[in-house]
Amino acid sequence: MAETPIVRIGETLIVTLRGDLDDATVVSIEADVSREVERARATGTLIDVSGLLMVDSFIARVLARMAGMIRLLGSQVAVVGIQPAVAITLVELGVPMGHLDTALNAEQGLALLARLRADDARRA
Amino acid sequence: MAGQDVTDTQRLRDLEAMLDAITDYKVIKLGPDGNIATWNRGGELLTGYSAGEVIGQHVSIFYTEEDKRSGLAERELQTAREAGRFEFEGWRVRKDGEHFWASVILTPIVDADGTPGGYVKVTRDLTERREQELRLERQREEIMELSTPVIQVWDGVLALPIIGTLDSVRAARLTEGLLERIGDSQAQIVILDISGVPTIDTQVAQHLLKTVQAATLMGAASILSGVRPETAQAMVHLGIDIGQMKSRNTLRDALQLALQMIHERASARAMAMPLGTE
Repeated sequence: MAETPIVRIGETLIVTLRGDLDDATVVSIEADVSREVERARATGTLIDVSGLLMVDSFIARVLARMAGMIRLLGSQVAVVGIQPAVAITLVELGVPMGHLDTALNAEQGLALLARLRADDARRA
Repeated sequence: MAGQDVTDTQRLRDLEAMLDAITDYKVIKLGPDGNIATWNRGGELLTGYSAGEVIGQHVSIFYTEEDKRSGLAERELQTAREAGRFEFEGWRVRKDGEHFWASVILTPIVDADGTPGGYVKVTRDLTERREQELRLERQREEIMELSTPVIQVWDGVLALPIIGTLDSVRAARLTEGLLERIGDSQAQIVILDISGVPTIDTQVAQHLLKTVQAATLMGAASILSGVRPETAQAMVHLGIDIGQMKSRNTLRDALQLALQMIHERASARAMAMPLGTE
């Protein structure tokens, strides 16, 4: 089981999901990510899924769950690098992903996080 | 009785001559175990084997390695026995190893006293027809590709002019093609121009919305353009909700909006990056 890399840049965390994710892996990733968001006082988290070439409803739920968890910890979330086949599957599965903020790549994801932080501050 | 025998022999010869005259079809008799019992001229022309080479052999000598392994011959015989007939189209192999597309009909023979007497198998070479079908299919695919072009109209902006009726096959291709292009070009905005779509019904709208959702998941925003007054009326009457998607009357306006959105995103990016890192 490969370790999930979590990189911290300033107040932003970058989490890279890849390969086969099973229940046990997912639980340990969730624990790692939430601990790291808390420890680093991250205001933005980027989840890079460009390494995921296939998804099922399980992974879709995991993504939604992870985003919810990170938001609860006070960080904005952007999912980047969703592959074409994955996007089609998610839409066909009908998993509600409307509340996920997405961007094409890490660079645009950082810009998106900046926008989300600004919106959040304005609302507050 | 002798006269009867002569007639029988004569009739048998006539039958054999008749079978041999059928050169376009392989018409053969199989024993109950699937071994080849008779052979005709058509069989020789089709497979390249002479009667001496095949009589007594199992019928699976004409089968591909894969079909041999999967036990296709046994399944065919069983189906023919149970259903009274078996029909099949698939690849078979000639003596020289060349594959041909065979149309096969297999029927069980029941002897006068009711006991199973093997099978009669009629095979025809349909390779040409098959190739024609494949050619047609390829052409259809090429036309399909031509009919759903994705155009890069600006840095980071793709346009998808949709022309004609959208059925589910075309819609799936369109979605796939568009998402691939979004991935390749990293375009942030997609303009879906529907001025060439004659009628928007619920199904077409559903296809479009799914495409938009998938593009959004990848991180590209969509703009709808070319909505004609009658289309707008129809969409509202059908209760089609385009959600947060922006819509413009013309492609020109849509492009203007796209450039504006890109500009806004760029300033947000400049904010996100500390000075000097870009």
